Amino acid sequence: MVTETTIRNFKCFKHLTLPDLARITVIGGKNNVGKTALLEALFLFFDRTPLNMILKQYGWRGLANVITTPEGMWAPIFREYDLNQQISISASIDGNEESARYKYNPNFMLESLPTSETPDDSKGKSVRTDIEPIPSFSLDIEYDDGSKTKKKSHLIISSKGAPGIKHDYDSTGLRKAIFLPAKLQISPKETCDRFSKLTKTGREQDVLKFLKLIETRLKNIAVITEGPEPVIYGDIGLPEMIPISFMGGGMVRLLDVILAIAWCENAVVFVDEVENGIHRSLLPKIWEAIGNAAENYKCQVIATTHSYECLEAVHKGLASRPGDVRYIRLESERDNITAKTSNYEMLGSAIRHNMEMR
Amino acid sequence: MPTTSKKRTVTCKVCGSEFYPGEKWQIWSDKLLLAEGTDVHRLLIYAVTYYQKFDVQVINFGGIDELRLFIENLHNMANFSKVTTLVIARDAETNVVSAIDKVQSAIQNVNLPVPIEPFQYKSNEHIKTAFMLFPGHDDHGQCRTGTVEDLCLATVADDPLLDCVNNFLKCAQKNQENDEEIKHPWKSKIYAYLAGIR
Repeated sequence: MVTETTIRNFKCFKHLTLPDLARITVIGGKNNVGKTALLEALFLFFDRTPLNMILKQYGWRGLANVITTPEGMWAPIFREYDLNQQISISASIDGNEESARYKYNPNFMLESLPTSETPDDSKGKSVRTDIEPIPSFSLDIEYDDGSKTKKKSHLIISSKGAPGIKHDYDSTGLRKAIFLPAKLQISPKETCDRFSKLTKTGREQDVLKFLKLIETRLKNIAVITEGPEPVIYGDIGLPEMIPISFMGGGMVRLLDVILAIAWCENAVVFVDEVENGIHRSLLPKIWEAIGNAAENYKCQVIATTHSYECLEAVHKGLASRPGDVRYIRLESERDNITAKTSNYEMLGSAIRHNMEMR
Repeated sequence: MPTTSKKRTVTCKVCGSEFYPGEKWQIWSDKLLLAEGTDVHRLLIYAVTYYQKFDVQVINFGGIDELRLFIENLHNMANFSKVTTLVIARDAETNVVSAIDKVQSAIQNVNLPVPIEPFQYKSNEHIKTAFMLFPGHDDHGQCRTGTVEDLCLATVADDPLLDCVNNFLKCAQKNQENDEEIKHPWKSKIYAYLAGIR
């Protein structure tokens, strides 16, 4: 579990410290103060292997294409789009201090030379003898988990504009994390894969119980493949089972959340605008269920919200586990973003006194 | 008492300020006056209006046991960094030392400058703080025990109606079951007085 983090030079953050995170941490604040950026920074810290670790974050924000230049691909994650800064994200995880640094390197040398096809390909490829290695662009990433050697990765843009990635370490066994964006839905295939994994271990009832919070008629759920991709269906007493997505946006949101927590055992789940699609009257029950699931699956949930009702629901729904709750409000002060942390008791007091705390 | 108008606003009959039911309150002034409970809150709103100190924001923090968390939250609210003056008003009740201690520890808890005595400012480069204890000082400059109601009644100390009120309360006390003390006698006294005036 992440209990403390410091972020420097990532997007809008010059130097942000969150000194006290808990199993259920809710992030609030006004528009454009960096709530989503905070989740993205922390998710990037965990999401270490994919070539598209940064690109997919742009996709969650609705950007379909970027230019394959350092300015197009990497500058947006640097504070003030300044590639000369160094991003650092450090975190205290289960008592262990870890950090990641991201630094732009315009002179990265690839360890291979470009080759050409030979007329007879069975004889191999050809390489020019007069060729000089051409520097590529790299985002050098260095992970320090407290062990003797630092782990290095390079996101690369070759001289011809082709993106790539190179890891200088064994990247197996890394901690898992899932990001649930505010708008985009997780792919049905991914959802089915997660549900199938749970079914294999006999834990599909956890999902059913959770979804019943919204759809009380739900009797059963199953993965059904009729078209090109599998889809999760639910039985609500109609002649046929129907896709869960036909039961409303709230059901899909809830399904994504519970599957992320259950699939991502012993890891961190990031949920952007957690209340999306869910009626306020259900929020306390849902937070209670999220709290139970997070404990059962040893998961940490870090979520953002704009909603006061959601904060009231956090307080009501998580009354049985006050020590697991933190609320962090981000605030723009002068040229920096700062964090104000409240524990469960403070959250309750703010609600009782009708204080504006978003 | 505030009344609700058609525009879904609430207008305070004392100061004329408009409030929006359901909206959360925010810090809008750099001068905050925190009041213990509804009665102190109303009195202070009346006072700042009377003295035309319209730049003072008077806020009800509830009971004294809520002060610590309230100040912690206040300290976290937007615009608190712009606050230059913070004053806390509460009743001394039956124990002046304890009343002072509770306020001081709540202020200390958020690392604000802690005033040593009531009615005195303590400041750092950003903010000055003070606390008031009602009913205030006696003739020797010592803090009196009591409440804001005592302070109000002191303004009508010469009114013969107070004799009637005192007699009534003596009689009421005499007739309590099991010789129990009247709860909140200061409130009973002022309400009885108010009931008796023309």
